[in-house]
Amino acid sequence: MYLLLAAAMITGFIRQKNMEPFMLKMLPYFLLFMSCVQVFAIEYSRPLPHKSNHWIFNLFTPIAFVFYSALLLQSFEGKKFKNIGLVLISIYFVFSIYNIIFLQGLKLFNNYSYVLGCFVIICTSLLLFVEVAKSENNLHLMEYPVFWVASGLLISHLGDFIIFGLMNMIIKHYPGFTTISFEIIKYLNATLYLLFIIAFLCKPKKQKQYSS
Amino acid sequence: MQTEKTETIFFIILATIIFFIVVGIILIVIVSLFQARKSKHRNEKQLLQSQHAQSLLQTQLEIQEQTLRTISQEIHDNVGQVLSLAKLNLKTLDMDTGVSREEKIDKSVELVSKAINDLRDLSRSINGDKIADLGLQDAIDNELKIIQNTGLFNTKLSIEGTAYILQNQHEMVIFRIVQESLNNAVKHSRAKNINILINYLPSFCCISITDDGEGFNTNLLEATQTGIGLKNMQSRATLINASLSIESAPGKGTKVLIKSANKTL
Repeated sequence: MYLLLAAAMITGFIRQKNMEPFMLKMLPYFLLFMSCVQVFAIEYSRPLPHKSNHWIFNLFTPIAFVFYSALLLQSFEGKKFKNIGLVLISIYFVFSIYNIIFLQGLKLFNNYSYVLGCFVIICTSLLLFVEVAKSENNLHLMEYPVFWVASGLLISHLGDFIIFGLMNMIIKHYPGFTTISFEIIKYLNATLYLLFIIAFLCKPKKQKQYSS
Repeated sequence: MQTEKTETIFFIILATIIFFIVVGIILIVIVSLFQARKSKHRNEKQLLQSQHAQSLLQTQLEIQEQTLRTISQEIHDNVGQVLSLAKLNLKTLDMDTGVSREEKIDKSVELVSKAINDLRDLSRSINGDKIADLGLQDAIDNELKIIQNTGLFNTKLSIEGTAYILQNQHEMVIFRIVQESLNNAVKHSRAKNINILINYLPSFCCISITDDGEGFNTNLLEATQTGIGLKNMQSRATLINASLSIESAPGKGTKVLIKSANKTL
């Protein structure tokens, strides 16, 4: 998985100049930032194995979901879908802050927010697919990187949505599944990075439009 | 018992995850295939449009080429000859040729007038704007008058139904087809009578050009130069979604029938 993450970052930085929209250009930087956060989280909990690093992820995940949503929203052509996406991500953002302050706090992993975030990303990806299917422009998917980003986000977040939705139950009643669940998440993330690589290798034809 | 239950739940959770992921993958594949199919369809449509535009351009070029050929031929065979005769008359004014000086001047004036008239007729028949101004009916009438004036043919234009105006481009193409038909009749048919009937039906306009000339075997069209000319007429008719048919047989004259939809409906 880490190899694929590194490959995605390198491909992203190499192909960055040709990429549109702006948020896609920022994706390699975001992946770098994410890697740094993960390394920091691992290093933070290393001296004392029971020291919780959840607060790091609780603060990072809203940023990640907002970034992915912004990336997808920037590619929408129709205002209607863009507005729906904006409303969804706003609801998520407000809820995640509320969750940190009033519900699960920083010390527990905020799986409610995570599940809602996954739901928002799934919905936004599906909206993008609907727009792609309805598009009247001459669209070649190998020239439309955001489609592959949305595909990766959809597949990985569909899995995450179920796993994190059931996470409390798994940990409480079936702790043996926890390791397997994290293994599945690893594979889903690997798929995500693989599809990011495909997206970076696409040759976008036209700026902000589906090519002609 | 507990292990069995745990295994069942594990299986259910795993199956749900796999199911959702598979649904996601199927969705992505469906969108990709749908978009690819749409793209292919759009490309085919664009190709057809460009082919149509290309053949339209080709026909326009052919029409232009033919017009230039007609001008050149008219000037060489008609106006040039007439002016040469006038020049000859004027050159021989002082010569004793048995014809008086006044007679020669009168003849020269007559020849120059004929040349002017011929040039005017030529201008009328090739000027697209004039055809648009005159309308199809008057432009055809004008052509028939020119043929009538040669004294070699009797011509007649008949109109049936209430006249309406077709699309500008369509009228132009139909007029060129009629010109080509008349040209063929004048050159090859050895006819005495050339008749045109314009029948304005509610749904389409039907134009028939009939001559009582020698006719020809329509099966032999493929191999001859005339065949190429007639094929050009056919391709022009196709361009405006009109139909063109030719009925002819040796000794039985020729009938060219053009049917164009009434786009004013």
